[in-house]
Amino acid sequence: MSVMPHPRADAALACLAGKSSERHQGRAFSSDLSVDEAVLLKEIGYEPKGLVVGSAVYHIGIQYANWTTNQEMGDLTQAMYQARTEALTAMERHAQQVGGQGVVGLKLEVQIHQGNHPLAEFVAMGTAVANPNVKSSGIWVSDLSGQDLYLLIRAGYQPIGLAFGACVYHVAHQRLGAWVGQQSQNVELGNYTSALYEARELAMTRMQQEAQRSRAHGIVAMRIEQKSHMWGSHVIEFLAIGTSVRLVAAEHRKIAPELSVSLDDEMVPVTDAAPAAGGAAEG
Amino acid sequence: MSDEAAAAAQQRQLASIASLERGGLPLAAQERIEELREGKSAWTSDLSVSEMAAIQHAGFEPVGMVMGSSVYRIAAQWGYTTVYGLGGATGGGRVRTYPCPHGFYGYGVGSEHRTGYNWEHRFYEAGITETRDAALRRILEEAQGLGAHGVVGVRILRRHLEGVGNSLEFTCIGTAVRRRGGPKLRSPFMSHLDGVAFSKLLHGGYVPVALVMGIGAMEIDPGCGTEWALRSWSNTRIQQISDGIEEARMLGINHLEAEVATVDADGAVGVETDLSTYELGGESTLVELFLLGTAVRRYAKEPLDEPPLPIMRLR
Repeated sequence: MSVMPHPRADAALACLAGKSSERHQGRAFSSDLSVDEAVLLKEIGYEPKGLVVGSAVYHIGIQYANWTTNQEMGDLTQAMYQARTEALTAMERHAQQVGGQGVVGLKLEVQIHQGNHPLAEFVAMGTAVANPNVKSSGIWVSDLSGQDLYLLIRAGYQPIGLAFGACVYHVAHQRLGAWVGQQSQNVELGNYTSALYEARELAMTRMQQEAQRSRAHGIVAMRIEQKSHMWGSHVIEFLAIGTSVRLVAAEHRKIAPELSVSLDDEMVPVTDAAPAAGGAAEG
Repeated sequence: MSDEAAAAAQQRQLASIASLERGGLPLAAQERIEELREGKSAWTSDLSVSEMAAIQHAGFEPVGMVMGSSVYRIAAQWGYTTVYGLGGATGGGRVRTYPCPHGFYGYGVGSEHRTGYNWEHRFYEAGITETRDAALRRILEEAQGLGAHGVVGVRILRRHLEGVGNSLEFTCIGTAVRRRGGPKLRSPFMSHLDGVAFSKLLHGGYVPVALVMGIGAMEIDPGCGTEWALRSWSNTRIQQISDGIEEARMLGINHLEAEVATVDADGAVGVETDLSTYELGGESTLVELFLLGTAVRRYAKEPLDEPPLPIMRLR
């Protein structure tokens, strides 16, 4: 059987056999980028610099709320916000140490450790990247995947940083009388609507203000997370989070995608606005 | 079973163990590899159809499935409880102390005031690394026996054996591939990425080199300052635990990057992270970060043969 000529495969094996190779400059890196991400980032000039993490473990105390009122839990909002900021700052410090200009595929998670004392661990983790041809002072952080970033930068935008706003809200319990009175009708539970509505709006407003402070032109891939963590059902944290971007090119560059019809049998899942978590191995 | 058959089986067992001790493969593995190499049996692979196509597109062909496995007893650090000032630091790992913030120096059992320690479990880290090394050596030996250039889609199984104290099984299984007429390599390459990713990697100008791992294990023995903060009613950052977890993560990443440098690669991609915590009795906790990735080396300057084509899927 004759062998199909394949210069790339031959070059790769020659490199492994210890002959010519085109080596990466600088220290060895680790990254949780998938192969697609690593290759696409290289395509726009970014080199991975290393996996970076920051964490903050918080003891989140209790704040009492009036059983029958809708109100924001100011102390808790403050604590959640501060803990995330600390984890991010620690991660940015780490990114600076390894010579990064930005962090892609950020995962910002809260893990609750239920033990004798409930603890919340805030973890920020991503891959630091740098483009040797770009001068930059600060570190930008983004939860976009490498693919998203490739498109964004090709279209003429630059990520500026993460924008997020948090709001921990107590939703009032209904009075018994009202509950009994409503059993036989279809009614809007105004109390719930307004509480959830207001909490989301507050979180989004804070996020927008953050983006404005960093003089962004917009926020992409924004999403709202809604979690009760360890507080039970009536206290909810709303977290609005996205990547703020600025148009750095003279104008938006058109990408003009080709249309394609997949011949695969399976349904292609619709990718929603939430960016793919940069992590897992290419599947 | 007759006595003779039983004796023969017993002999075979002993021969396998002796072979493992000499750094070789058990008899069953040797025979299977022999059979595959001589072309007596069809080649085997766990590749999907698209992986198969991708590997051939990259100029390679599958040779057979290969495996490496090792079961170890990890030294008794699992049950290691706090021995303040002793034990912990003897392995030469990282240690950080958290003195009593109230100015008491006397610490001991039953005392409300004591010093906290965060220290690295060096023996534990070394034990896991050794187990992994043995398993990888065996899978590479199988691959070499088949005359393969590399192994792709390596899956890692890491588990505790039920009923065997402090045991760890480390097993890796993947598909060996080769390029007909390619140069002989001193050691075949390994990748935990699937066949499609392997092809993309190759066309993207990188070649996988080896499977690399990083492990960071830190024990946190809380001091009284930490205990007090845990009981507080206010929202506070717990410094000692934050430090312990961050240290474990840093150790894991540093160890991974050190392995990347050892195999003379440029970096690691597709790193998977796994953070687990174990209660050690008392208030002590072991935090373990396990990282696994594929080390890659760059062989071509230009990133891709052709620039990527943006497409919009019409389903």
